[in-house]
Amino acid sequence: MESREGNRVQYSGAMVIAKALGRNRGWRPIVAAREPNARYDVVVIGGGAHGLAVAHYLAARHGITNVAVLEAGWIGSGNTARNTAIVRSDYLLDASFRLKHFALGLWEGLAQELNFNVMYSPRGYVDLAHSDGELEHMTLRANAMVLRGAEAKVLDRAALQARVPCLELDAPSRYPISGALVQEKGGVVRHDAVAWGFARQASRQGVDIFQNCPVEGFEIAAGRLQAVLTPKGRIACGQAVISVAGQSAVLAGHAGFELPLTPVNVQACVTEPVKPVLDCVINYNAGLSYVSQTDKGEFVLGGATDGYGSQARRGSFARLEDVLARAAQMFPFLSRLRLMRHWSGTADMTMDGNAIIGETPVAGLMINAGWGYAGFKATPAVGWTLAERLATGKSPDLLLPFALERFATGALIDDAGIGPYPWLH
Amino acid sequence: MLIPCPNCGPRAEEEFAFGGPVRELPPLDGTADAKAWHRALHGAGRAGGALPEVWYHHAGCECWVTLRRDLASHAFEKAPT
Repeated sequence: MESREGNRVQYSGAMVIAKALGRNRGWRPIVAAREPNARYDVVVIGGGAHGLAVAHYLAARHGITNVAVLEAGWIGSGNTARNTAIVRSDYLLDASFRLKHFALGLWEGLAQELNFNVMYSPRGYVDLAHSDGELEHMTLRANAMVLRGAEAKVLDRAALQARVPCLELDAPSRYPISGALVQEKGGVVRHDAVAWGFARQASRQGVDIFQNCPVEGFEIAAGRLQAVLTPKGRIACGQAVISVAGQSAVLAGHAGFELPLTPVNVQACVTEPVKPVLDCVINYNAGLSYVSQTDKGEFVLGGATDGYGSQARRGSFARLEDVLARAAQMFPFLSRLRLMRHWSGTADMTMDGNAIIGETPVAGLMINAGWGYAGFKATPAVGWTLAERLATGKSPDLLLPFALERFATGALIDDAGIGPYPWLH
Repeated sequence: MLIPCPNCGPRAEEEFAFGGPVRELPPLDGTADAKAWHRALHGAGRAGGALPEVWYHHAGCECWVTLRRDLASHAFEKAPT
């Protein structure tokens, strides 16, 4: 059993230099290996960035530290590590916008709060329009954002070319580019650092984090959660949160209720590294291809879901080809780069494309699911609001629209206006 | 993924449009309540075992076909249509 003392140290530049001079020996693990207690006030199921953020804010804002995080694999090994690390809040619908914009504010101060460099890089999010009609829609969206206090700009072709000089505007194209919506505060955050930063800070405050500890069942008596069942034994708990992305339906099944979810496969890939040329995140909207260049020089590319239900974590070649073709339309030089890595993950997509956060039919059991491939940007806001729900017993206003009942009552939050077709969201 | 079209034989997935899991919709005669519609519209598409789904073969027979597919292995089995 490892003591937590190693976690208590404060990281600093001087410490990094001192450790480097000592050949980087003597760094302590940031998550201590322990045996679980018999009972916790809160058990967070899922050690991705969302679950770890819940644990951190429970401890930091509400003083609740008798908390366990149970992760089936290793922390941050699921969709936290598979997304393309983009953060933004350029949403039209009020509920979507408010939660993500609250998150954007938290991202700004997160490195200081966690004493961990999460590398928030507000390099600008550029969303391309491919027709005058689409540009008008983006103007509507930009106006809605500005009215709610966010910053947003609509660029015409000349201004867009000045903002992104390497973007190809003039090649013969089936989907010519007519302008863009730009949110300069959007950008990227180092996703692994987010998971580890939240884990370390939660652990420093007394939260227990268990890896390789899947939840295999629930003990429920008279409609109320009593305990979770794991390979490490029965763990009694006051409350628990399911925050397991692609496995949400499986966990809900263990607890005896159903979620309006379809699992879909989402792919991403990176090219070999080259010199810096692209200083923003850019999204091609005729089809979907979002591109950014990492600090190391690799181009990160992502696209839409594979277009049908899947739990395979194995991508469709047709979708990958589509993503690359659209990226090469924007940046023809990309066609000469080789792909270094390519991966996919299972996203839990709801019937309106938006998340489900809050109560479940089982008293004491909360859910945070259905983020599809849009959850990373909301990480700190989910942690902040869900921790408040767990600590106070009352859902903050930001969370109310995301309740599970909305599917039964018809109060859907369908940003894309697509309807109950999760594979198209 | 190769999709075994009952009319054309195995064809590449690019030839098809996905129509989603088979949904048992309530009758349109006003007898079903909101709960029944909620179940029919939002309950389909869960994982676990083979799921009956519809595909439109736009680059082939131009028919909607119903096939059962395992979402984890993508193995198809022919459904009684």
